[in-house]
Amino acid sequence: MNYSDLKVKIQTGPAAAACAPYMVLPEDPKVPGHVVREKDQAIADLINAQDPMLGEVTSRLIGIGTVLNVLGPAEGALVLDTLDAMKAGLSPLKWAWTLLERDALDVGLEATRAQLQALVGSAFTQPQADAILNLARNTVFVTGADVSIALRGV
Amino acid sequence: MAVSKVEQQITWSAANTQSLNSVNWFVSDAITLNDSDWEGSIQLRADNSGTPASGDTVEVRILYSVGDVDNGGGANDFPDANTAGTTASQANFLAMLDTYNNYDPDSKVVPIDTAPKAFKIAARAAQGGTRAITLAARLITHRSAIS
Repeated sequence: MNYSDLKVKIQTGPAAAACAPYMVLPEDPKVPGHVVREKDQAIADLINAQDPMLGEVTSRLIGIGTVLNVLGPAEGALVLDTLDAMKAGLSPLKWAWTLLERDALDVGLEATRAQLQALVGSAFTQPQADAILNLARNTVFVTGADVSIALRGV
Repeated sequence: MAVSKVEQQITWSAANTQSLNSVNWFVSDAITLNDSDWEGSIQLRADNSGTPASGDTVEVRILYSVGDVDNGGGANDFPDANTAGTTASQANFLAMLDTYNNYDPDSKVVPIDTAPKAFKIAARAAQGGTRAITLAARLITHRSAIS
């Protein structure tokens, strides 16, 4: 668990407004442990539901169906059409496309991730690229204890 | 035979409480056990200085006097405690207080052996460098007196 990332997520992420009433920071007046535990757990529940923490990048093979599923049929088809049209003039994309057709494109590999990122603006939007890249990262369950460490340190 | 309960504050350099403000061991003054005490307990109370976080625990150990076994004299030697409280590896575990997962202040009463001549207690806060925890301790014994 990267506690710095978790703190940023709690304070500025999509769930920040919902988390704000439960936040207890070191500079705040003392709150007893049995009370603050419930507040920390409330934040953990909000983060897990609304803005989950992502773990380390691992190997994950994807194919055409994965793209359609993650981006949605219409948006996914549009992206695939764009990639299909671009592949003739872009050799790395041509071979990546071959792997994609075989459900064998590993979005956990550093080179693949860099190539996908490089296509932002031409084939993908950043949120679309993030959606595909995040397939290679598992969701990490956040506990109230994690929140306490993120907000008040060790 | 009259029976009474006797309480005695455990002190650190004569102070009733000790702020555990680092991860080091803090060793109390020595307490001599009365000959008439046939059972005893230590009352412990740990109060976090700030809002607790996970891991804000206090480990408490007891260092019984090993007497003056090499000289055969009447003095008290304590395992580890003579090394400026930097270690308590030979001390007996007494309690683990947790100001995050339990209540804050967290309290506990732990029985001790009254056969030894004397004891000290050693305590350290796992995250005392970030949030100091104030520890207070008291000995309570069941004491008999022949009248």
